[in-house]
Amino acid sequence: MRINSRGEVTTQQLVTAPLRWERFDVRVGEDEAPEDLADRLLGEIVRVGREIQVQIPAQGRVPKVVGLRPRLTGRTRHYEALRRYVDEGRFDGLIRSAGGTLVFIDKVVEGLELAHDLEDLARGDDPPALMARKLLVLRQPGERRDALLDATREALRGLAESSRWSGLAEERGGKDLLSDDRALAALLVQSGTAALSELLSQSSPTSEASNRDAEGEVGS
Amino acid sequence: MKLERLRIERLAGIDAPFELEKLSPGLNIIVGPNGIGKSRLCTAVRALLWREREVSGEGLTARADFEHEGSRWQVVRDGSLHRWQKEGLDASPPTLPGLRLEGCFFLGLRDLLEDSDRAGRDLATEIRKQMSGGFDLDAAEQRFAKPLSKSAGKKESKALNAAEQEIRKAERGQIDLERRGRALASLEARAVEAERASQRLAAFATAISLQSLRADHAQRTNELAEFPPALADLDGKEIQRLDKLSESLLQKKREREAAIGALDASVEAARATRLDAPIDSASLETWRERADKLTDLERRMEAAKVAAAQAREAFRERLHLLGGFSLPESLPESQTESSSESRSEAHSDTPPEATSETKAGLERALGIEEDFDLFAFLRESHQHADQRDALRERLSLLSARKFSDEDVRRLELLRRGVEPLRRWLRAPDPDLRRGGEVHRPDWRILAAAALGSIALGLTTNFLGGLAPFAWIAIGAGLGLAIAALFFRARGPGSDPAADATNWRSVAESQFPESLDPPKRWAIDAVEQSLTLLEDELAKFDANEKRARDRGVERGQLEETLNGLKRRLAGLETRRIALFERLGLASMPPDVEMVDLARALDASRTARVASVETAATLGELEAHYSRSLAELAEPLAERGERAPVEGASARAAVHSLADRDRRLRSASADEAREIENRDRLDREIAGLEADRSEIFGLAGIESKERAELTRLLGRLDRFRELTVELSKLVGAIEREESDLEAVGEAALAGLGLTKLQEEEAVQQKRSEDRKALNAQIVEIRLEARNARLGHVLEEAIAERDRAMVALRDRRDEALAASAAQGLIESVRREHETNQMPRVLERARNRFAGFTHQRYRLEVSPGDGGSFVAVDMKSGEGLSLNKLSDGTRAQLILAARLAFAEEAEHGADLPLFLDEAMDHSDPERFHAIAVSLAGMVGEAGRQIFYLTNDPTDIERFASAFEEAGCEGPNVLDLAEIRGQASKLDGLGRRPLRVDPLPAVPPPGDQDAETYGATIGVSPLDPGRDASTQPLYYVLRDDLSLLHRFLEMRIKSVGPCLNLLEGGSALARSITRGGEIGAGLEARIELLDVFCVAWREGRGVPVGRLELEESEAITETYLDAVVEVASELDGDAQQLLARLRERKDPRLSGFRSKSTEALEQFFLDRGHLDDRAMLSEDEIIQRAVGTPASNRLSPKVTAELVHLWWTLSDRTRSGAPRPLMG
Repeated sequence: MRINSRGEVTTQQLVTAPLRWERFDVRVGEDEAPEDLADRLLGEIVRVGREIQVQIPAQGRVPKVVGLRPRLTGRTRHYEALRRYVDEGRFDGLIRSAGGTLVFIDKVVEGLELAHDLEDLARGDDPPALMARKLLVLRQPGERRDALLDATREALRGLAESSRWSGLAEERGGKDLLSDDRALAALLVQSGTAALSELLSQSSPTSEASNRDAEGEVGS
Repeated sequence: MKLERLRIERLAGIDAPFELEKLSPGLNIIVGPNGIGKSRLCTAVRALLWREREVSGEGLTARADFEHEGSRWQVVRDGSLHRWQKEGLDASPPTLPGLRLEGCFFLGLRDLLEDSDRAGRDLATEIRKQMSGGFDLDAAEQRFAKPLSKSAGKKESKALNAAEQEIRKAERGQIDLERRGRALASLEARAVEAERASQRLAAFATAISLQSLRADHAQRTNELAEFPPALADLDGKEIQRLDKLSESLLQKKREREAAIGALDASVEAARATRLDAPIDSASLETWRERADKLTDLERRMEAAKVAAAQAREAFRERLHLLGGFSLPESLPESQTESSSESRSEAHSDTPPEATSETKAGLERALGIEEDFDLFAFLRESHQHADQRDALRERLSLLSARKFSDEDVRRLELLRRGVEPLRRWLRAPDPDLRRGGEVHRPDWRILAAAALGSIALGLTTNFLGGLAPFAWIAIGAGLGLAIAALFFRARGPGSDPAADATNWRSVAESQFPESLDPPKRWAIDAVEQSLTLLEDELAKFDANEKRARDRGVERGQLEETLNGLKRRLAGLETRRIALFERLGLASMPPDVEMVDLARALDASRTARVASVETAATLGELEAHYSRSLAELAEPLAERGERAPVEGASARAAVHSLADRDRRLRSASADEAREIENRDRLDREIAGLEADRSEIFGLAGIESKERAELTRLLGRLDRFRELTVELSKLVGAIEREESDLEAVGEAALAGLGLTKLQEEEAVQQKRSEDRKALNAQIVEIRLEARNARLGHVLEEAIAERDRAMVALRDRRDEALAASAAQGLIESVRREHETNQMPRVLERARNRFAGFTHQRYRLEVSPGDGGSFVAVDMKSGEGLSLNKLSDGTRAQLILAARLAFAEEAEHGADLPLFLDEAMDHSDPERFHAIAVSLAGMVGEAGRQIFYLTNDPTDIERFASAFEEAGCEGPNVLDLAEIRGQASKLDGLGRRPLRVDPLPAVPPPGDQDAETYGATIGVSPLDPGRDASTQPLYYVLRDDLSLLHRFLEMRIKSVGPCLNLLEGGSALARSITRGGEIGAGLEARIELLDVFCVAWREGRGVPVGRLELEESEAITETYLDAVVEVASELDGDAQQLLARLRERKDPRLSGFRSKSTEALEQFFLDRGHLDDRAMLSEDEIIQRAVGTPASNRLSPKVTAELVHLWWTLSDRTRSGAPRPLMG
C-alpha cells in the first residue's frame, strides 16, 4: 500500500504464498501425439518455472511450489487419445524443479477441437453429420444457438441442482450455474466435440480392421 | 456407380502391377488364397474413391474406371495425387458419401453374421445401429455414462462434508483453546502458589526431621554421661598392648641376666693373660721382626761361610794355574782375623798362610800398571800385524790385474777404424745434394758487401754527421765479413755432390783392413758399424784408465808396507823390555802373552772375592749378636724366656703376641657386655613406663589387668554413642543450614506439633500442583500445535481440495450429460428425419430378401422397438423370434438401406470381404439370395472376395434360385500370374451340398440324444427364448426332431412359429398333448428363468469387470479368474475381495472394492433379494397362467428338471465368462 503526497492510496498485490496456481493455454499441434505432448508439457513446466524465478522476485516472494493447470487447445487428430490421457490424469503430476521452486502439473484441462472439417462433416444425414451441425450452430450466435442453449439448460437443470453438489452452493453464491450462455456454450462445444469424436471413432475400426487384414496378407 | 476396370501399379503387398477388367455390373466373385491381395483390392478402391483415405506403407499408385450416371469416369491416385476425370477430362469428384460411411460399402460378412448372433438379445438396437450407418448412438451415449452414475460425486461430496466438519471441529477447538488460554494466567498463579507450598513442604519436613534429631541427640547425651571419661582416650587395644609389654619385659630381664654372666667370664679371661695392659702393637711387631731378622741372619751367615770357602778355593786354583809362580795354596789369614771363635772353629780347614816372598811376587805380578803396559804392547803388536797382512793382500790383488799389450794394440786399431767411419758419415749425402740444392750465398759477394758497408760507415763517420748510422753501417759490414769467412770455409763453391762423393771415397779407403767393414757403404750400415766400434773403443779406454790407477795405488801400498817393517823393530825392543820387567823365564810369543794376562786377571778377581766374602761373614756375625741381646730384654720383662737363637726368639714373640690378643679380646667382651647390660636396663624401664601409662590412661590406680578388661568391655557402646552423637550434630547443623538457606530458619524454633499442623496445610496446597501444571502444559501444547500445525488452515485446504474435486465431478457430469443430451438430440433428429427413409428402404429390402414374407415395422407400444410382421398371417413377431438366417437378412437389409440413403444416388459397388461361415449354410444361402435380389432388382454391383472356391457354387445356386445372372468369377491368383486354385475345380460340376441331416432320436433316451445333437447346457441366467428347445421337449424327442429338421433349435423361433399360427404350427399344437402344451411349457420356462435369477443378480464376466473401470490391469485377470470360479456371482466376488485372504487378490484396494460394488449395484449385478428355492419356484410357477394349462405334476417335473439341470450346470460346468 502506497500513499502519495496528495494522500492517494494505491495498493499492489505481492505474492507471498508458498504455493501458487497458474493457468495457461497449451496449443496442441494437429499431429502431436500424447507422448510428444507429455515431453512438451515438461518443457512448459520448466519455462513457467523460469519465468516465475525472473518475474516473481520483483512482485513478492518466490513461491516454493507452483501448481499448473494448463488447458489444451487447438485442432488435433489424436483427440480421443489426448482426451483419454487427460481423463486418466496421465499428464498430472509431471514435476520439475526450477531454481528453488517445484513446478508440477496439477490438472490438465481439455479444450481441444477435432481436426475434421465440421462443415464437411455436416454434409449428410448420419449422426456425425447431425452432431457436426450442432457444433456449427454453437459457433455462431443466433436463435438456433439460443434454442440449443435453452434446451440444454433445461436438460441439465436437474443435474446441476442435484443435492450431490450442494457443497458447491456457497461457491456459486446463489448464482445460477447455467445462466452464463458463454460458459454453457463452451460446455456444449466440449461435450459435442467429445461425442462427435466418439461417433467418428466407431467408424474407424472397420477401416483399421481392413488395414490390419491387409497387413496380415502381406505377412502371410 | 459401377467399377469397370481396376489397375494397381504400386501398393504394399503387391509386388507386380495387375489389372482387373471386364468386371460384371452384377456379382463379381474374386477368389484367391490368403495373401494373394484380395483385401488390398478393397484398400485400393477405398483410396481411389476417398481422397482422405490414407494408405499406409509404400502408398498407392492405381487407376480405376467407373460407369456412373451414363458417363465414364476415371480416377487416378499416385501418392498424394488424386485426380478424377469424366469422359477423359479433369473433373471434380462425383458426389460420394463421407469417408466415415465407407464401412457401409465394404462389409465384412463374418462380422455381419456375428452381429446377427450377438443381436439375438437386442436385435432392435443392432437394426437401429445399422440404419444409422453403423454408428451406435447408444454406445456413444454410454461412453458418457460414468460421470453420471449414481455414485459420481458422492465420494467427493462426502469428503467435502467431512472437510467442513473438520473445519467446524477445528474452529470449535480454537474457540475452546482461546477460552482455556484466558484461564491460563489464573492457572499459572495457582500453580506458582502450589509450587511454593510444595517447596515449603520440604522445609516443613526438614524442620520436623530436625526436631526428631534434636530429641535423639538429648537422649544419647544423657546416656553417654554415665560412662567414665577415660574411655574417650582408649582405643580398645590396651589389653593387647599391656600383654605384649609384659611379655617383652620378661624377655628383657632374661637377657640382662645373660649379659651379666658374659661380663664375668670376660674379666676372668683378661686376668688369665698375666698382662696388665695390652702391648703396643708397634713394639710387638718390632720384636717379631727382630726375631725374624735373627733367623734371617743365621741363614745369611751360613751362606756367607759357604761363599767364603768357595772364593778361597777359587783363588787357590787361579794361583795354581799361573805358570812359573809358586803361589800359596790358600789365601792369607789376615783377612779373617776378626772372626769369632765359633767361626774360627767353623773354618778350621782354612789353607796355611803364604810366604811373604810369594805375597810380594804375587802383588807385583798382579800390579795394575804392568797389566796396562802388557796389554798396550799386545794391542799395538796385533794392530801392526793386521795392517801388514792387509797391505800384502791388497798388493797381491793389484798385481793380478794389468792392461796388456794386446789390449793396447786393439785400442789403437779401434781408434783408427772409428775415425774414417765418422768422416764418411759427416760427408754430405750426394743424392740429397742433387735432388734438393741449397743455395748458399757466395762468400765473395758477402765480402764485397762487408767492405762496402765498412767503407760507408767510415766515410759517414769521417764526414762527422749521422754518427749512429755510421756505426750501424760498420757493424753490418763486420757481420757480412764474418759470414763471408764462414761460407768460404764451408766449401770452395764447387759442386757439393761431387765433394761429398770424394769425401766418402777417402774415408772408405782409410778404414783398417783388420777390422770388419760395414756390411755395405750406406748410411744405416755405416752408422751401425760405427756404433759397435765406438762401444768397444769406450770399453778399452776405460780398462786402460783403470790400469793406470792401480799402478799408482800399488806404489803407495808398497811404501806403507815399508813403514810397517820399520815399526816392527821398535815393537821387538819393547817386547824384550817388558819380559824382562815381568821376569818371565822366556820370551813367549804374543799368543802366550795374552793367555798370561788373562790368568793374572782371573786370579786377581778370585782373590778379591775371597777377601770380600770373609769380610761379609764377620759383619753378619757381629750383627747377629747385637740383635739377640736387644730382643732378650723386653721379652724377659713380660714373662717370656730369653732367646738363644732365632727360633726360640720367634717362639717367645709369638707367645707374647697370643697373650696380648687374648687380653684384648677379653677386654672387648667386657666392654660390650657392660654396654648390653646398660641397654637392657633402659629398655626394662621403658616397658615399665608404658604399662604405667596404659593404666594411667584408663585411670586405674591399682594397675590390675582385670579392672582394665572390665572397663574396655563398655568401650563399644561408648563409641556408638559418640558416633551417633557426632552424626546427629552434623545432621542437625545441615538441616538448620537448609532451613536457613530457604528462608525458613524460624521453623527450627517451632514445636513438633505446630510443625505437623502447618505441614498438613501446605500438603493440601501442593497437591494441586501436578494437575495445574498438566493443564498448563496441555493448554500451551495445544496452543503451540495450533500455531505450528495450522489445523484450521489444513482443514480449509482439505475442504478446498474436496470442493475442487467435487466441482470437477460436477463439471464432468454436466459435460457428460450435455454430451448425452446432444447425442439424444441427434438420435431424435436422425430418427425423425432420416430414419423413416432408411426404415422404408430397410423394410423394402427386408421384404425383398424374404420374398415378401416379412415386413419390418416399428412397434408402437414398445418404445419404438421393431417387429417383423408375417405378411401371410399379419402377425407381428419380436425380432428375437426370427430364425438366424432371417435375422442376418434383416441386419443386411438395415445396413444396405442406410448405405443407399447415405450415398445420395452414388450407387457405389458393394464389397463383401471374407468368406461366410460355412457351418451355417442356411444363413449363407439366405444372404446369397438377398444379394442376388440386390443385383437383380436394384442393379447393385457386388464384389465378393473369398478364398474358398466352393462359394462360387453356393452363389451360383442362390443366384440361379433368384433368377439372376450367375456370378463373374475372377481368379486373382491367375490374374497375378500365380498358380490357380480353381484348377480342377472348374471341371467339377457345380452343386450345392445338401444341409446336414438331423439324426432321429430312435430309441435313445433324452440324455443320449442331447449328447448326439450337441445341445448346449441350460442357462437360466439368460432369457428363456435363447434356451435350447431340447429342455422343453425332453419328453417328446420326436416332436423335438421335427423342429430341428426345420432348423428351429431354440425356444424363441419355436414360439415365433407357434405364435405365427401357420399350418405347421397348428399341426403341431393339435398333434398331441405335449404339442398342445408347448406354448405353456415355454411360458413356464420363462417363469422359471425369471424366478431363478431372483436374488442371483446378473452374472459378472470379464466384459462387466472391464467396464466397471474399478480394476486396474494388475488385478483384472485375477479378479476375472475368481469371478469365473464363483460363477459370476457378484455378491460372492465382493465378499472374496473383502476377505483379503485370496493371495491372488493381495493388495486389492478397498476403495476399488467399493467402486466395484457401486458398479454392480448400478448394473443390476447385485440383487439383494433372497434366492428362491426349488419349492418356492414351483409354488411361484404353479400360480402362473402357464401352469394352469399344464397339470401340476408336469409343472413340478419340468421345474424340478430345470432346477436340477441348472444346478448341475452351475456346479459341474461353469459358464465361460467371456466378454
